[in-house]
Formats: sequence, structure tokens, C-alpha cells
Amino acid sequence: MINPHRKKEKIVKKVKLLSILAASVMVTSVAVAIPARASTIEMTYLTPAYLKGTVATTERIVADWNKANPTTKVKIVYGDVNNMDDKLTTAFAGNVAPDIFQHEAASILPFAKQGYLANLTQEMRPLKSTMPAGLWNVGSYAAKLHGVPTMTQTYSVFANVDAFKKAGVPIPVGSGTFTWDDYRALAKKFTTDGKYGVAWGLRSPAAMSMIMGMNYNAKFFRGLTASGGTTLSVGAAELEVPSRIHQMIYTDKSIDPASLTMTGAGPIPGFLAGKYAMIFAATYIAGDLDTAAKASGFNWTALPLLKGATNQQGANPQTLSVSAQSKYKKQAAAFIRFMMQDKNLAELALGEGLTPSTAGSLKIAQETKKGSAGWQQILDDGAALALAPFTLVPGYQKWKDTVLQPAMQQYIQGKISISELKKRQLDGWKSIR
Amino acid sequence: MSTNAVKQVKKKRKLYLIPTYFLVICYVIFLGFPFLWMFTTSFKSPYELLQLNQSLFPEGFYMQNYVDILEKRGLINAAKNSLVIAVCTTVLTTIFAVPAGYAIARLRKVFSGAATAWILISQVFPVSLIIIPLFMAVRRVGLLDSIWGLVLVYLVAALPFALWMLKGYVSAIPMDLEEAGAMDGASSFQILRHIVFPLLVPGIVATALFTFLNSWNEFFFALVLIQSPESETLPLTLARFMGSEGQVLLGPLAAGAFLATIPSLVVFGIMQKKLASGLLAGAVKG
Repeated sequence: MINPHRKKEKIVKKVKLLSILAASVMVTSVAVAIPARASTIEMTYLTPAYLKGTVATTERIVADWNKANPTTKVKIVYGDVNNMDDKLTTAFAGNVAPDIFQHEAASILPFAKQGYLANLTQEMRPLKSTMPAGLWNVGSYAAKLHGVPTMTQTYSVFANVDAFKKAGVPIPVGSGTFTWDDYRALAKKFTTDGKYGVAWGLRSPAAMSMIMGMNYNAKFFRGLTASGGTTLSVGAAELEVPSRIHQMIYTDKSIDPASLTMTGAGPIPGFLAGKYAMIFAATYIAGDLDTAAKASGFNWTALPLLKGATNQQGANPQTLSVSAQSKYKKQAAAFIRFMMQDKNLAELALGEGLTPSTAGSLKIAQETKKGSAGWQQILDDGAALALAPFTLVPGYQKWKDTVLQPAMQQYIQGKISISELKKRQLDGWKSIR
Repeated sequence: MSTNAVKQVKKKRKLYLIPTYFLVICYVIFLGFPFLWMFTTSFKSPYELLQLNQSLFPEGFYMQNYVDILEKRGLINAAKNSLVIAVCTTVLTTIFAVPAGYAIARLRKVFSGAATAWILISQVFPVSLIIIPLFMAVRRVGLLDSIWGLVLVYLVAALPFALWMLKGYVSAIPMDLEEAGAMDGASSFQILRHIVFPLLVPGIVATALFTFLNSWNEFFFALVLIQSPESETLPLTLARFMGSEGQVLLGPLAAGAFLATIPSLVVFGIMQKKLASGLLAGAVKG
């Protein structure tokens, strides 16, 4: 017969053992679960990337990051480049903003002013020395870096090399040597036999005319830091570029009037068909020109940046920002530094037809495109980019889109005079202020 | 009528039909040409699309556009989301709008006038004015980044116009028919079921088609309310083939747009027969 006392002891022992086991399991589970919950995070990265190559590069970079940082994952969210402002405005208002996002410098300024963007000055300090000061400043507001400049476009004259050879015209080379007068003379020279020398997609000329205005030291806005507010000044310098375009259209008749209502990329088919010897466009068209070069041997190059008093152009680079609402600002900043690695940035920029911002990535891009004179010129031109002060002016975007854009369109179409163009700019600014 | 006279009438009718058919064919070509252009463009290579003189038919069948959109751009998932949203919105809108439209059309003038004015006022506000409050409201009910949130928003957006349309259709049905039904001993439900509803079919179909197409094509609400790629709708996916300053990936965009058009065409093809069939369900004999 079993001793009841021993039986009770046995049961107590079993209960104790089970309790210890259960407690151990619980402690272990909690110990495992707590750090896992705390350290596995997912950040969202909103990007307007849409070109096949850029999408592939972005996905490759994010996959590399996620592999190297399994507890700090990044999820890509694709945005529509033409509606990024709407998307971000509502996301910020609803406190569901992406942790990291790509946008352009001039467009992030309102968000920075409203306190929606994290200050990245300290986190990105190592990158500061790797890019031109002008670019760095474009991404800053009130001495705080809110958008890390990644890549930027310049406006260039693209030339059909075979057309130049056939005409016996030497192709201009050497940065800072190709002037607006040279450009005008070349356009006239190639305007023969019913052909126009140049096609220029001028459907939306406002931003381009301001950026190119820096060639003639156009400032547009004065008193940026004055307490009395900013004033708009439209003088000879600000009107020089519109005036020169007008002369080429109506005096020289060297710009195809059909191209005036086209988008920037609109004249490409005519250019490839040999209809024009030159087109004026932003460098993002280089990708299309490469496609044509591969398929048909089309021989293109980019001419040195146009020079007036200077060959400087205002920069409005693509930027990477971190939302102030993000819970993972440090991790988001680390991801941006990862994206900004030379190889990654070079690949992204070349995919978009843009110039990468850092010295190391620029070097890789130059090596990658060694065989292309056009690309070499585009990449060299990055040095001429400067801070466009007007991008920092409150109300600049609204004025540019609602006042300057329609006024410039009408001027280019020959519907208003240069004095009326000036008047509309000034009156428009007053009404906005 | 003599045989000769009949023959002459038939001959005249044939002569009359020639220009009619000619005009109809021209109109069909006019309407169908953009669709044909989109279809053939979807088979053109990037280089072919950079040519100055575009031909209607592609040089070869470049299938990569379809491969890209189906494999890499999440078009199938987006199409599935769009279909669920459009069908649910259409069904719910119809369920709510039919009795409400009937009530507005048949109830006392004071109520009807107030309801109509209210519907009209709700259509006056621009989307940009309501988008942030709407965003906050959808977020508060936990439907942000959800296709059901979009269904709710589309339902609210579609109802006023659906009510407006159906009110017009109900008003066009003579009251005499309903009164005749009542005199024959039919209950209110029977009157609605057997007299009003058959006559209302074209109106319901037209309203449903309108709601379906609007939900299928809607972009702005989806842009703002949808955050993750898994919940994207077709218009959002297609917009990602367009860049800034007029840049566009024309081949993949045409391929995507062509595939996106098919469900609308199928739905329209099925429902358009009902548009006409309801008209024949008349109850008044001459």
C-alpha cells in the first residue's frame, strides 16, 4: 500500500516541477518575445521612381538593406511623381506620413517650414564634404538640413553629331566656353532648307527660364532675409533669357514653332529623325537618346552648358527626407546614408539621366559612361550647379505656377510684349503677397 | 398596298440606310480609333515609340510591355482591387439609391424639394476642400489604406448623383400605373415589385453603369487614401508609368490601359442590353 504522506509529497513535487517548467517557459518566451518586438521594425519609403531601371535599382538597394538589416526593414511605397505634394500633405495631416520619402528640394520647403521634416544635419554631416556647397544648401531651411540632395538635372543643348559633321561645323567643347550668342549663331546656321536649327519644348517654360536666368545673374527676389519681407524685382537680368528665346523664335526663326507647345521631351522624335540639329532640354532625355543610339546608332552629344555672364544654373535636386512623425528617425537616416553610398547613388542617377550629388558617385558614373561624350559633358556640368535663392522664397512655387507660367507661355506665343510680361510678374506677386 | 408600292418603299428604305450605315461606321471608327491606337501601341518597342512618323500597326509584337506590367508592376493585384471596389460600390449604391430615389420622387413636395436641394449642395464642394477632413474621418474609423474605406467613400460620393438620376426615372413613371395597381388590390410592395421596378430597370442599369465606371476610373481619393502597394487600384498603378515634364512610358502604359479597359467593356456589354430591355417593359397599351 502506498503511504498517503509519500503520495502527497510526490504530487507536491510534481506540481513544483511543473510550475518551475511553466515559469521557465514563460520567462524564456517573454525574454525572446520582448526583444523581437522591440527590434523588428518596418519603415516605409515613398519614392516616385517609375522608370524601369530606376525601379529595379531601388528594389535592389532596398533588398540589400533588408538583407543587411533584418531587424530594421524598409518597405517601398511607390508614389506618383505628379501628385507627391497631395499625397504628402494628406499623409502629414493624418499622421501617417512615410518614414522616408524622395521629393524635390523646392517642393519640400513648405513641409520643412511646417515642421513636418526631421532635422538631418547631424546624421548626414559625413556627407556634407562630398557634395557642392550649393547643393547642400538647397536641401536646408533655417540652417537645418531637411532633404539630402541625391541627384539633379541641368538644362543642356543636345546636338546631332552627324548633322554637325555633315555641315562641317565643329562641335563646341570645353565648359564655360559656349555662350548664348554662340548658340543663337549655331541655330541660325542650321536653319536652312525648310529645317529649323533647334526644337525647344516650351510648354512649361517658367522653371527653366528662372533656372537659366542665373546665367545672367537673375535674382528675381530680394530681401530674402530682411524682416520687411521679400520683394520681386524684374529687371534686365531677369528678362534676358525670355528675350533671347523670343528673338530666336520671331527674329531668327531658328526654333521650330511646332515645338513651342511640346513638353521638354516632345521634340525627341524629330531630333532622332534628323529634323533638327539641336534640341534644348533637361538631361533626363539622355536615357531616350541612349535607347536610340543602341537601336539605330544615333550619334548624339550634349554641348557645354550655356554661358551668359556665367554658366551657372539653379539647382533643384531630388532629395531624401525623413518625416518628423517617424518613430524611427535614426534608422531612417541610416537607410538614407545607405542609399547615398557611391555605387547606389551612381546607379540611381544614371537610371534617371541625372547627375549624382556626391563626388564618389559622380566618379563612378563618369567611369560607367566613359564611352559617351554626351554623358561625360552632362556629368561634368554638375559642378556648375548653384543654390537658386528663389526656391527659398515663401510663395515662390505659387507665383511660378500661377503667374509666371501663363505669362511666359503667352510671351513665347507672341501674344504679349516683354513689358507686359514684366508687369504681369510684378502684379501677380503683389496679388499673391 | 400593292406589291410594287411595297417594293418601292423597301428600295427607298435601302437607299436611306446606306448613308445611315456610312455615318454609323464613321462614328464607330471615330470612337474606336483611340482604342485601336492604344492596342497597337502596346506592342511597340521603346525605340519604335521614339520615331517621328508613327504607324498604326507595330513593326513586330513587342510583348515585353505586357511582361513588365504583369510581372513587375502589380497590375493584376490592382485590377483585382479595382474590380472588388467597383462591384461593391455599384451594388451598394443601387441598393441604397433605388428606394431612396423612389421616396424622393414620390413623397410630398416639401420633403422632395429639401432632399433634392441637399443632394445638389453636396455636389457643390470641390474635392480639394473636403479631402483632408475626409482623410481624417476615414482614418478615425480605421479604414485608411483599405479597399473597404474606398468603397465607403465612393458610395458616399456616388449616392447623390445616383439618387438624382433615379429620381428622374421614377418621376417619369406615371402615377396612374401605380394607382391602377392599387385599385386592382396590389399591395405597396407588389406595386413596387411588379409595376415600378420593371419600368425602372433602364434607370437602374444606367445608374449602375455610371457608378461602376466612376469607381473603376477614380484616381484622387485612391491616391490619398491608399498607402500600401497591396491596396493600390488600377488608376494609381497606371499613373506610375508617367513621369514629370511630360515623360511617359508609353508602351507599358498602353498595355496597362488596354487591359484596364477590358472589364469596363465586358460590364458595359452585359448591362447595355438591359438598358434597352427595360424600355420595352411598358405597361400602357395604346
